[in-house]
Amino acid sequence: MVSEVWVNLIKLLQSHIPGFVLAVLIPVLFLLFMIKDENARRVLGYFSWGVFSVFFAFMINSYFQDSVIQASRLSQDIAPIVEETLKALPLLLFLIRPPERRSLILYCAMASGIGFSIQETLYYFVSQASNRPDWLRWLPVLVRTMTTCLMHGMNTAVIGFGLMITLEHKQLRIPMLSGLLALAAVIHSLYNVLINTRLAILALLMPAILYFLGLLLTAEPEPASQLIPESPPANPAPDQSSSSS
Amino acid sequence: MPHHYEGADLSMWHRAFWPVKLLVVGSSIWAVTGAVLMLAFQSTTLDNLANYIFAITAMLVAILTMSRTIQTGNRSTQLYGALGLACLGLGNLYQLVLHLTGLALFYLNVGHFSQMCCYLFFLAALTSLQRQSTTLLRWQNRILNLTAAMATLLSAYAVITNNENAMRLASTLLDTAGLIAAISLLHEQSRNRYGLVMLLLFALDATNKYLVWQPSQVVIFAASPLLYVLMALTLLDLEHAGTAASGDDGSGSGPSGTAASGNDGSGSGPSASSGFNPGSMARCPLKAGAGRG
Repeated sequence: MVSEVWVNLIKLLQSHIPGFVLAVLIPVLFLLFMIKDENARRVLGYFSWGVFSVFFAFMINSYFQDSVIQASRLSQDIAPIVEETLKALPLLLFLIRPPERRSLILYCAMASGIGFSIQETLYYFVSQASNRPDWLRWLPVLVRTMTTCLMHGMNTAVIGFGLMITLEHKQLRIPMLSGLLALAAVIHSLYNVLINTRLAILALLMPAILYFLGLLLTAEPEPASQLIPESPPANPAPDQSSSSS
Repeated sequence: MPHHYEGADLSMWHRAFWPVKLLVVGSSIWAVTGAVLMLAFQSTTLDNLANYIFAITAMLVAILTMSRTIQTGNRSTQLYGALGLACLGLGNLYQLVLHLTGLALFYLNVGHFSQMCCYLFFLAALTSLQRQSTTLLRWQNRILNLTAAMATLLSAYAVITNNENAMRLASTLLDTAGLIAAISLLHEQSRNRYGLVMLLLFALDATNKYLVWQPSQVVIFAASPLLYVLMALTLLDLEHAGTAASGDDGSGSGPSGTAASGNDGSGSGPSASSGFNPGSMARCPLKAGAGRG
């Protein structure tokens, strides 16, 4: 096993991934240390984790790549579980130090997912799209940015949402977070399956649907005071018709 | 008293949305005709039809409950139940997509993981409905949490390594935990109906797993859509049960006007208001078994 880890590490170092990670991570870290606002620092910190976690995802996926019999199993079954777990892992820190604003958990979760997806997009661009000679080589990246990036961000946000609503309920945390991890993994896997079939349009729509669903779920309920019609003034003006009569 | 019938409380039925009523009627008809047809004729077409009905019903139920949850703004029991239904519906949809696209179903996949882990949401829903906070219940919840964590790890391991025994063990753990949680809810007035449905589902799932008798598996499979709809019905009805409960014990009401105490008995905080409750669901018993070859 140790030798396999070394082999995968060498494969990682020989790939474009370290260059991409460092190119994004170092400037973001400069910014991170400059910012004094705690909430902004946290969001950027989680974004950095998302960028960095690609290392671990590559290593773990490569480890299982050699052992699976069917090639599609890696992208359909293994990678979703591994990647969703890695992206959401640092969210557990919120259990130790809860934020003042609960919604910060959601933003941090989404930042982690988007950080991860940026790296993944760059990797796919260099390994596949950049070989195209035509001037539309950026098009796949654009599509991927609007779909896969959103999917990664929203999947981690789903887990963050679970943490947000169970922050004060210790006894619900484990089942909720585990369940949401499974939910995120199946959405991820469904996307990976559909994108390679004739039903690819469904895969492209899924992240957008999830995004709007997330907006609806996280919307604050309308305050009760706004639902009650304004009470009439204490001394209503006399009706014109009645006064005239 | 137009809605009062002696010997049967049909208030839940009268309060239900018409799409839910439609689903109840449709799935009831299917439960009978589907079971008879599948027992009488061994047909691949029938099996496929059953799978489609199963997956479509699960998705419809998930969409209905989730849309209601969004409408009410509930952040507690109803949401947990709706998430469980969504997780289960997606798991079934995943299997259907694999089937339609002709991809191999001979390995444990993420759909199985999802079908397994939807029980975690139902556990959370059941736990959140407990109104008492005794030492025994606290210990019970700790053990259930430990079981849930173990089951999640086991099922993830099972999918990654395609290990059927690990998946079976995880399933058994979750069924046991679910049965315990459902039984502990039976004495709770106004919530025991949900507890009963959950108990039925967990029991049927466990039975289906260990009773290798094809007719029973076929009957349970045909009845599964009906069970899902029943689960949604009791879940949505807990909205009213929660309101009634709040009147009984004086716990605070939530944003949607429904109320119940929190799982830890505090009932405080923005997310502590629990409206109603959840539904649980049997993961596709026959299908999961078939998927594992």
